[in-house]
Amino acid sequence: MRILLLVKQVPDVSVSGMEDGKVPRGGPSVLNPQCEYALDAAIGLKEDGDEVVAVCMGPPSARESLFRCLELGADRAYHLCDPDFAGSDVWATAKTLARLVTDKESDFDYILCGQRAADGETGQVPSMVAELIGIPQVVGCYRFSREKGSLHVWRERSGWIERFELEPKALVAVEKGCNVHRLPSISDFLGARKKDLMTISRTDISIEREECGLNGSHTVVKKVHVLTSSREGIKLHLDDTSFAIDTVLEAVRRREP
Amino acid sequence: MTRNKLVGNKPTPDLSKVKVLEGNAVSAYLQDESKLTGFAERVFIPCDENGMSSVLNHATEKKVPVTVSARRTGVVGGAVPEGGWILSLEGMDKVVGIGEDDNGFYIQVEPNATLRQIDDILRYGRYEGLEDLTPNAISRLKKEGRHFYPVDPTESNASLGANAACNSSGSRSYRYGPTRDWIRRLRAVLADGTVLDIQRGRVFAENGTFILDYDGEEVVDIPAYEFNSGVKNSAGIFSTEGMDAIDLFIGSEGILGAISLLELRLIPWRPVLSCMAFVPDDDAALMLIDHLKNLDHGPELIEFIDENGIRMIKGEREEGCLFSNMPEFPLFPAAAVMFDFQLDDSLEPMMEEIGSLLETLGSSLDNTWCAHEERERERFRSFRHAIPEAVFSYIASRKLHHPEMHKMGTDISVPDESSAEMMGYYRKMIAASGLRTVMFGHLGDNHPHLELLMEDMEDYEKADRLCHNLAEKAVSLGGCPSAEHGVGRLKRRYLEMMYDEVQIQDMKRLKRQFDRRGVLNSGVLLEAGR
Repeated sequence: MRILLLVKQVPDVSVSGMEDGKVPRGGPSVLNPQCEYALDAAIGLKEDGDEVVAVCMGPPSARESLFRCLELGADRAYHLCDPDFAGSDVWATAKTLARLVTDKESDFDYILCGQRAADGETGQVPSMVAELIGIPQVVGCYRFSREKGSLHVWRERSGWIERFELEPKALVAVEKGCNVHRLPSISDFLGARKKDLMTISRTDISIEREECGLNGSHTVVKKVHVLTSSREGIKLHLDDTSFAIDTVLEAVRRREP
Repeated sequence: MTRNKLVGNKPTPDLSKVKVLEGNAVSAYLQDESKLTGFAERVFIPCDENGMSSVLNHATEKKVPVTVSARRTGVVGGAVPEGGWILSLEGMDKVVGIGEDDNGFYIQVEPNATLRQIDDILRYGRYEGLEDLTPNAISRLKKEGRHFYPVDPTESNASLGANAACNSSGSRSYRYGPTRDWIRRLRAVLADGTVLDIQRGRVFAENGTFILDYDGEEVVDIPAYEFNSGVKNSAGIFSTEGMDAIDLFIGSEGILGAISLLELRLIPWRPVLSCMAFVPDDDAALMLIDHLKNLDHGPELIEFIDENGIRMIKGEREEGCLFSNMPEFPLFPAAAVMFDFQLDDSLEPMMEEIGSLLETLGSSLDNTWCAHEERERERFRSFRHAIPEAVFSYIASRKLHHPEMHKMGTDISVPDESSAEMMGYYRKMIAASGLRTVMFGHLGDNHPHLELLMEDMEDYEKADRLCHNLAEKAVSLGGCPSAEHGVGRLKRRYLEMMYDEVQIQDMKRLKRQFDRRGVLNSGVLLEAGR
């Protein structure tokens, strides 16, 4: 099994916190927390003969995050690093990552990635990558297992637990995991320095300058804030359908939930 | 001008901008982390140096003792008043600006600013609102890249003025030395309100004297002893032939003058790999530490946690109280050694050498943790800092049954050549006492902290005797019983171990020359009124 692991390096908001809904730049960076969960999931699924390939787009400093993946068990890595990639929004990022996958690693079985990045909080890149490659996706996962050559993943939605069985060629976005981050040993650290970490520039993959970086971007994250609902929901029991329909119609009439 | 002349300036007293607290409001200022509790009539809170000067001048005129208080994170009662007034520096916590000279960049701070504040500014480049102390210093610093202040006392919320007053050190002093080495300039307010402005390298003692020039000239004699700089030492007033005047005010615990401004040197930041190696027992850890100390490009710090410490951490972790964000230990039972290396080309061969040694010690490079991302390195730091917290929590639980009990631990350093002998003595005396202990800390500087885990007051008395015996032994080996916490009010007895009566009289004479009425931090470092 070959697992591609898409990761991102982000400013360490656990130390700096947000400033008026924006992530302060210029401070220390870390592997995005949800990518850390994806890394744990990928390494947990790995068996003898399998390969985990980490991919990260970012400035030269992003190599540190790839080294963390290599130290904790990834086998090799790609670093998409080119001034032409700078300033990419979700669309340009997804396009660049998808091109890397189709050009260099099309022989993958599964793609794992973090659900969202701590700096942008958009959560759109995983689905965009899946759509651009043309594979199924399951987002918001927290549990993973292998059974008879396929991948089983779990996610929680509105109080329900959903379980999916995925044949190879699927993307899984990871939302939750263990909060105790693993620590590599010095052996892992030295070993990671000997693993293959390939730097990829724009001209190494089939993407035009206009399609990536600022040129290929249509959106910008201006501010991140948490939405809270002040309205209470209504619980409907489907054993009394006509009452449920009446309740919904009445709510719509009153423009309530 | 004479090379040994200190010129003072006395501002016109003006108490109008000084806030005063009385009654119940004073109670928040009567304790520090030693949990010693004092008493005081009033708290004065100036917002600038003029205010400090006015309060001290007023106190000297009225002959009222004044205790200088900042963030009260000290553990030896230095900020705990024994009557009189409190001069709280809480209104003076600004980071003022950045400057540059031939030795590089420096940062100017008011005395109540913290290590955390300057770390935040330097780490994130948050220079908004700071002054250029020399032309274009801030833009030059931005261009040069990230810098840092290398002194790293574990308590990052302590005030920098207090760090200077007791010459704090910490884990990185193994490579970078204590606070003293990093102070470029300071301003100190004397007991009568006179302000001295001293820049390092400008005023030196001549024939054992300085000339104080304010309100007429007066000769000040520095103590005749040679201050023990061969070990980590925060006990007593610094003195050496031809000394720089700035060093009188660093480490003298505010008894000669209260610091009102500091300039601290900065150096370029470099990436570092933090490591923690687990070995089967304390002996193996000590051998690893010896090896690390003898490397050509040695580590930035060397810290130790003994077998009891690792056992305590594991227990706390299983109960889910502390350390719950750390993975399982790769080896147990074990002792641990922490060390930081700069991430450069020399690292790999050095680690392979350390790996070979670990194998001879019954461990390997697999039984280690390492981290290079700052978030991960911060976990190591918290891990190390959580050990004294676990001790505090244990003592607090015993205190419920024995209210008179206080935390008891050592702060002893010895010279390199006496390290093995001192360690043997620790073991012999701990075994003889029958007490439970945890040892951790700065073994790179031969400066571990031994914490006593006492059950009852009988243990407490045994612990007190044990600490006293260990301190005496350290002094006999040329060491210091108060290596980084200062003397304050709680460790004055140790001063008498290190200095004879004549030397203590020398300190007292110097104190009187700066503070005729003995009002400033009276009872700190030196006994009051003798």
